[in-house]
Amino acid sequence: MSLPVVGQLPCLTHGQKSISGFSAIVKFVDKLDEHSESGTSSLTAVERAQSVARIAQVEAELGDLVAHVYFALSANWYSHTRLALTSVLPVPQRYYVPARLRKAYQPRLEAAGLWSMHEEQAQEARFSAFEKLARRKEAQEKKEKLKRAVEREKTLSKAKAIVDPYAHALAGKLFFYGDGTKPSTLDIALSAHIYLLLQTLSDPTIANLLRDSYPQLASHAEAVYALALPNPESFPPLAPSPTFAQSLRSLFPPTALQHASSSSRLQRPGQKDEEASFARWRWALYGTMFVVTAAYVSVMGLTVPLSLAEAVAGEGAFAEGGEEEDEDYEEGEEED
Amino acid sequence: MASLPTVTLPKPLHQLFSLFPLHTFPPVPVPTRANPITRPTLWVHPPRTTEEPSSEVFSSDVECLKWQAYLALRGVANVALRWDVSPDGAIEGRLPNLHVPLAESKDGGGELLPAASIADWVDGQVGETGSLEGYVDEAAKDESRAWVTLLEGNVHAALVLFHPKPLTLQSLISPFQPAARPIESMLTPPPPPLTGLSSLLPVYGFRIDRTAVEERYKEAISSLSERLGTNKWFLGSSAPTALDALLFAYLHCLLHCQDNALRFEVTRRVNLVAWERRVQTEVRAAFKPVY
Repeated sequence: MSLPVVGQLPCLTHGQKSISGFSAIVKFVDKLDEHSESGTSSLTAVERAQSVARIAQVEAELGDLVAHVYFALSANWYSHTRLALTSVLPVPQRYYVPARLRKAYQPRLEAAGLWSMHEEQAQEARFSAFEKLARRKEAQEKKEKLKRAVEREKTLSKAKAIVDPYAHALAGKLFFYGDGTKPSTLDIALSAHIYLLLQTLSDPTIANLLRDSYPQLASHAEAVYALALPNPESFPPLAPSPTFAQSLRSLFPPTALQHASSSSRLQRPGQKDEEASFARWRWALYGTMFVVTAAYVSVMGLTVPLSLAEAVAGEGAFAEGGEEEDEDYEEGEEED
Repeated sequence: MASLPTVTLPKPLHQLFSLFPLHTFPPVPVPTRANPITRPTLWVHPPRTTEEPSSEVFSSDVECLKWQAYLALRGVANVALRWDVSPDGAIEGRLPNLHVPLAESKDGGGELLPAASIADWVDGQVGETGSLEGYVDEAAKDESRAWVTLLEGNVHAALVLFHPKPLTLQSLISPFQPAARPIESMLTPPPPPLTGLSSLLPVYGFRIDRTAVEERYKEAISSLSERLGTNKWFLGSSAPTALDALLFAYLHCLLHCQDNALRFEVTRRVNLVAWERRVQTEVRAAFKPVY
């Protein structure tokens, strides 16, 4: 498995092309099969414009909420997300990539006010070896609990403010646009985020909020999921996970040889004839070069190799003479 | 309860300290005084330099221009502008700030408001907009939030990436770095590090996919143009709203940015250009610069 060019998931590879990012993938898939109905073909121009803005809002705000639930909340991170990532990643990467992924989300969540600092401090305090007074520790834990409760309330109110507009827009309808038979791209994007938020995790605050106060969003998410992946047989097959050697090799930048071999492996099924003809021309070039060199040598006569041999022999004799002189000098010294 | 024993300084120490007496100097007279403030003044980044310096009142920064347009479109009259204040002097290092006179202050000093409090101050001056905030209905108000996210996410990221603020020697060596929003907090999903997410090198920098940002920007501009259509104000409102101020700020900055690709995308949409020009005359009429 080679990493995507941009370094971000989701990434779709189709033949030689590699596309990453949700909107880019949607555009590519729509272009692939022009006869099939795309997610936005049944919308009016104004609705299409509206859905662009709404999808941007879903990806920004709901994306932040999903990242908060899976990456920022320590309980979920340590018991679910990190375990899932380490089980999927190969051996050298699984020790440092999850922490890097979590850190990559930190600036965005901090800007949105959804990054929880108090959980980190509570964890650190528990491992501190310098807490002597038990009473002080209890008072600190009470303060931490209060801070965490206040933070949870703030997060809940933020989540409500984020999710309310979608609930209003969806009120009573099966899907956002059209006559309710086909989900549009906005339905798919929204249901993906809501489905992730509904999963049972260690910290179920947001999931409970959605199930209790926004049942129509939960049912919408489940309906779209059932339409897309109705049974386990419809799941796309998994690519084989890389071996330990492959994952180690991927850590180092590829050399030119690896590039050539990988590119030849890629082209073998498709462009076999062209490759064969190129190989034939390459060997012809090598053969011609060898023949020309041999002809040149024979035309210039055997003087060239012979003179070389004499020079080598002469140097050898000089070296031996020098060694004898050294020995004489040493013997002379010893005598003295 | 017995009184606490007082600790007195021992005599040798007292004599030692008397060798170093405390001398209080008289207050230094300050030759310059700040001018007393008589009208609300918006502190903004300086505008672009043009051929007619007297006619340019629009700040070159999107954030400042947004609030300028908001004040003008809400009908707040008699607001002055100044751009000689460095961003270090602003609250949290971020311009714009609004300096308003207080009726009860004696020396003419006023109150400095950060950008987030400007809306409340304007509501106090010209009256509140109501629960719908000037939009046609609740659905339009929800939709306006989506457009705000689109503008402040996709369009702002393209503006920052393709039209960055020029790097001067002063900005490099000055100890006060501007507190701007970093680009990695504007992109979803967050960009991976430049050295690679799974490489052995320590994490450094960000690898930002410029083509993806440009694609999203083009999609955003085309959907903005589609939604505006021929309406007088965005989303069919009867009066200008905060979203109109935001849209004007972004369109104005895009139409005057150096990057050709960004500018052409907007100039291709005739209705956006015409709308921006119309709103520009309204906003320009509301300001008279102090400096």
